Amino acid sequence: MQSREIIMRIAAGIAVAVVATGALAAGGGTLNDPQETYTSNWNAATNDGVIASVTVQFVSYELNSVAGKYKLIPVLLRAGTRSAPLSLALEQDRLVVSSGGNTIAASFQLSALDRTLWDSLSPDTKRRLTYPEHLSPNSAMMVYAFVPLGDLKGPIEGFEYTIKSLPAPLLLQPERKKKAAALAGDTSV
Amino acid sequence: MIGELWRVLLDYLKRTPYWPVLEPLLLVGFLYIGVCIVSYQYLQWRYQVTLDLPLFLQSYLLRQVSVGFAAVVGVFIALTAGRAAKAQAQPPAPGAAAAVQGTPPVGRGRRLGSDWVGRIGLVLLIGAMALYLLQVWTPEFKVSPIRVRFAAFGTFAAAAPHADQDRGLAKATADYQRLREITQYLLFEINHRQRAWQLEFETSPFRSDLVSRADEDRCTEDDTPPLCIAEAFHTAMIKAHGAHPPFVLITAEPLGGGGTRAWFWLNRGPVSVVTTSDWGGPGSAGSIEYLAYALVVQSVMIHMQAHCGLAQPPTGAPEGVVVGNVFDLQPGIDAMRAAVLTGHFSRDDERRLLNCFGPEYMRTAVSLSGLDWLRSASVRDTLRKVYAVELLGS
Repeated sequence: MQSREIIMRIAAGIAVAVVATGALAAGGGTLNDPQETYTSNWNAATNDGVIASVTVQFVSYELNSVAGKYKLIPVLLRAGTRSAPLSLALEQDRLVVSSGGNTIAASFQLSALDRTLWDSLSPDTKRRLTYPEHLSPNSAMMVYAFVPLGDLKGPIEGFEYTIKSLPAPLLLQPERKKKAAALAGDTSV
Repeated sequence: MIGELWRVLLDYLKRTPYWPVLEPLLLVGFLYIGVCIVSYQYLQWRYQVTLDLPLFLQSYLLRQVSVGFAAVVGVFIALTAGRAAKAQAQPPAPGAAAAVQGTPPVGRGRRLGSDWVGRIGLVLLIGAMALYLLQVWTPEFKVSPIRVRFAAFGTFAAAAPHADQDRGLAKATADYQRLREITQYLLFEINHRQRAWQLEFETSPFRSDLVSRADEDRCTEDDTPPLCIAEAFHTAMIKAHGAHPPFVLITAEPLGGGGTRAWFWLNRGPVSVVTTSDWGGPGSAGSIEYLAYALVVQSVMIHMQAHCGLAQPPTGAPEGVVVGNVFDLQPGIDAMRAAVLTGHFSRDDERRLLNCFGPEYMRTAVSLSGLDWLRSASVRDTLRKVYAVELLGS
């Protein structure tokens, strides 16, 4: 009799837990962190499996800047299966930002833009911001670009990342729009 | 035969009136030689090092063994000298015995106490001196790791390349990147094969803007810009972090040096710069052996300056005369190629390594500089299969 009561209580506890979990999971809304990812995923095949992407968190992007002069653009660069490492060249690679209908050149070398600011950074930060020379196959790394704040006059529309050793520039477009376009394409069929 | 001769000699000595003096001396001598032989065999057993006799006789180990032995003999003498004579003086003459019996026991005890205080004081003095000498002669068993970093291609280039040089430049850059990958593998192999010192690989490229503008400008005017910038960087890192391991910077560009021209590598204190340019570029045959050899030599050079009381890098034969020792100035690629193929230390350098760092380090340095590890079947196979590289003479 007593064991039956214990079993009943355990069963009731499990039922309450399941209902509570379901109720929490059923909560609506989105996280208050609007963001957009720009990626070159769509034309990776033409670029030897190299993909670049930039995720912009709009709140921090709007409010933060580097010394009040530059926007920091962190670019995630990924290399797929390749026969050789991807060569990167600081002097020859280019990143262009499309913003408000204009194209603005970004720089991978903060020391060339603002030496005083660069010299004030810690050695570790300098090391992390240093543009790499190569990217091994099947690996990824962040490269950092800087855009003069005064040149950015509107929302970001996309990026064009030219890597000298690749046959064509990497065109980074918003992922959300691509998905929406893909969905629209699916429903029309 | 020798035993028979020895017995005859001993019999003769025993018959001489000097035997009471000779006996303890011979005993101590035999014990000392025995201890030396045991320490020599310990060296072989513990470190798998077989030193030739002159090297052992000049080694820190023989000095330490000698001091330890002398200290033990000294302590023995301090504790026993004069006691035998006193014991012989017993039993005293009846009159003297009466006189001794007449002295108060407190005075006798005090004399005995002061005698022992003197002896113990002497023992402590001998012990302190021996410990001091042992500590002075103890080698530096723990040396700092060496950080290895590649400069970005073109960091120290005098001028930007022309457009028609572009294709050659792309190939040189690719060769340089490949050399960096292979070097990383070789460093891991070196670390895997010995424990005397560690080589660390810094993955991000070195650029001249990692030092301040003031240092960069100053170094541009310097006779050897790469070494100047590397030193400025090392100083800045120590200022920022309090400590930074000694480091070797590898570059594809010449080292400068003005009229006298600096070849292959430069070293000052904890910083070295090695160029692949004087070997014919990163893609030329044997560049892997050269770089492996250079890294070993620079590591030893840095350690020797840090721990062997050297004010400047060790040097080998006088300029213009070379026998292939690692610290000789190798004039030109022919001499350097020969040195890389036969890398070895001179007898004096081996002695210095042994006395500064101990037998394990010496053995490691000698073995690594000979590059036998690089030419071993396993490493050669890896280089061929993974990196498509053939070593010189393979």
